[in-house]
Amino acid sequence: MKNRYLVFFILLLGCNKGEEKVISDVKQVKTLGEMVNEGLNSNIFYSSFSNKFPVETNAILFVIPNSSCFNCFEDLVQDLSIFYKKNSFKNIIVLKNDNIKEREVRFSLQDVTRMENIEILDIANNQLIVPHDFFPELGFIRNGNLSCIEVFEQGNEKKIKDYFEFLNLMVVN
Amino acid sequence: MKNIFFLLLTLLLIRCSSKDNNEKHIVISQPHTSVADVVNFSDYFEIIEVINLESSDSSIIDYTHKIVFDDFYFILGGGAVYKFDKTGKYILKVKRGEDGPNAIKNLTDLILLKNENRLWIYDSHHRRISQFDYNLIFEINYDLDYPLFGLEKLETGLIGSPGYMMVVKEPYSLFRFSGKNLATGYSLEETTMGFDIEKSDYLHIFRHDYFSELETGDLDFVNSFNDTIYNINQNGESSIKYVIDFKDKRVLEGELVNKGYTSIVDVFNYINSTDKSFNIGNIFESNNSLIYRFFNSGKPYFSIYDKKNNKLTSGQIIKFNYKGQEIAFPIDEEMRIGSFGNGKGYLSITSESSVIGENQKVFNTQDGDNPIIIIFNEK
Repeated sequence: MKNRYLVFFILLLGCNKGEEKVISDVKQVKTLGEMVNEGLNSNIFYSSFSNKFPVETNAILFVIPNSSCFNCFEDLVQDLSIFYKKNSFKNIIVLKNDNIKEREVRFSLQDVTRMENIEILDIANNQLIVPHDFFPELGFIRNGNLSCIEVFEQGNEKKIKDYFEFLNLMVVN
Repeated sequence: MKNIFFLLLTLLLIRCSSKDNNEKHIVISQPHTSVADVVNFSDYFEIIEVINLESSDSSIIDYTHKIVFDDFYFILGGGAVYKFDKTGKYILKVKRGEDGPNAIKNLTDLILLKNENRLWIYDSHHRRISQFDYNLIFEINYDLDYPLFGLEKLETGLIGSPGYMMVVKEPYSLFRFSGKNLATGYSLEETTMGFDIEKSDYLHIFRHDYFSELETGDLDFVNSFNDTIYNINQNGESSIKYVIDFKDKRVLEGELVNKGYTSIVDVFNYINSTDKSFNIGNIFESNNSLIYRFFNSGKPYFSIYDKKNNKLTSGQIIKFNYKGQEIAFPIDEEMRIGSFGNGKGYLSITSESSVIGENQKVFNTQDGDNPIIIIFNEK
C-alpha cells in the first residue's frame, strides 16, 4: 500500500515539475494501469517540457497521427469529452501535419469543445513530439508546461480510462 | 410434335437471351493516366448548383458517403445521417451509437422512399432496416438478418451486397430478396456472383458505393475486384454492362489469392507499391456518359466514358466552368461521385485549401468547413 502511494507521488512529480526524465525508462509497458500498479513508465510519459507554450496555457495537447481518419479514435475522444466537462476545460491544442484536414480535427473534437477553442498547430513547426503513424497522442499542459505524453492504441480502452483517471486524481485536483 | 417444337424454340430463345446478357457488354480500355492529366467535366456535364453545407459544431460531417434528395438533402456520413434544406442550412441529424430501439451501430446505407416521404437506414451490425420519416423520427425496425454493405429497393424486393464477406454457406456478392414492404417482410430469394473463398478472409470492404441509380430506375452494381459494372433491373436480374480493362496495369487474381494476406491493408499496401490500377467505384451513369473513379499507386483518378462516341477521358485534375470562371483542382480520396437517380448527379468535394487552393474564394468556403456539394446533369 505504501508502495502505491510512493508510485503516485513519483507520478505527481513527473507530471508537475519541470524535470527532464524523472525515472529512466525500464521497459515498454502496454497500459497505464501497469504503469501505475508496477511503477513502470512509457517512453516520455514522465518527461516534462517547460516553456514550450505560453505560461497561461492550460489545455490538453492532442497530437493527430500521421495517417488520420475521422472515426478512428472515438473511444479516446469520448473520454476526453467527459474529462473536459468534468473539469470545465475549454481549450485544446492540436498538432497535425499538412495531410490532415481541419474538418477532421473539427469533426473529431466536436463533442469535446467548440471550434473556436481549438488551436491547430503545424507539426512541422513543432519538433517536440513525433506523431505516431496510426495512433493519437495526448499530453497535458499546465501553466505552459507539457507533461504526461502518451500514445493511445486503438481498442485499448483500459489505457484511456487509466489515463484520465490519473489526470483527474493526480493533476487536476 | 407441336409441344416439342415450342419447347425447343423456347429453350433456344432462353439460351440466346442468356448469351446476350453475358456478351453484350462494353469493354472500356483504360490507359495509364498521369497526375497531370485533366478531365474537362464541362465537356459532358453542366453544373446546376453548388451547395455550401452549413458548418457548425452540430452539422460537421466526416465523410459524405451518399446523398439522397427530396426537397431536403439527406447525407449519409460515417457517424450520422444529416438533414439539410435546399440551400444547405442544417436542420437535424440521427447519430450513430445512441441508445434506444433505433440505436444504429454501422451506418451502411441510406435509401429514399420518395412516394412515402420516408428514409430507410441500413445498419449492417444489427442487420436491420430502420425506417424514419423526413423529420428523422424513428418509426419501425425490420430485421433482414444479413450484414450487407449496400442495399437498394427494387419494385419486386431488395438487392444487397455483403462485398467479399461470406455471410451464407457459400461465398456470394449479390443477394436478392423478394417482398413488397416492411409490413409483409422480405425473404432471401437468390445469391449470385460467387468469389474465391480466400477473399472473404481479408477482402472485407465496408464501402458505400456498390450501387448507383440510373434514370430508368435500374441500378449499376460495381464489383471493384473484377473491374466490372453490372446492370441490375427492377426484378433484381443482373447482367454485365461494362468491364474496365486496365490491360497490363490490371491486378491479377494471382495477386489477390495465395499471397498470405491477413487484411485489406496488406492488399492495398501491395497494390499501391506497384503501378497497377484498381478499386473501381463512385459510379455515375447518364444516358450518354459513365463516370467512374479508380486508384493507381495510392492516388485517386477518374474517367468519363462517352458512350455515343466510344471515347474516354481520364485524369486526376477536374476542370469545369462555374459562374463564368474556369475551376481546376486535383481530386482527392475524399471526393464522392453519386447519382440522385433522375439524371442528376453530385460531386462532394472537400473545402480545404490543401485540395481546392484559391478556389475557396469562388466557393465562399474555408478550412474546417463541410464539403461542397456540386450538383450536375448531362449537357
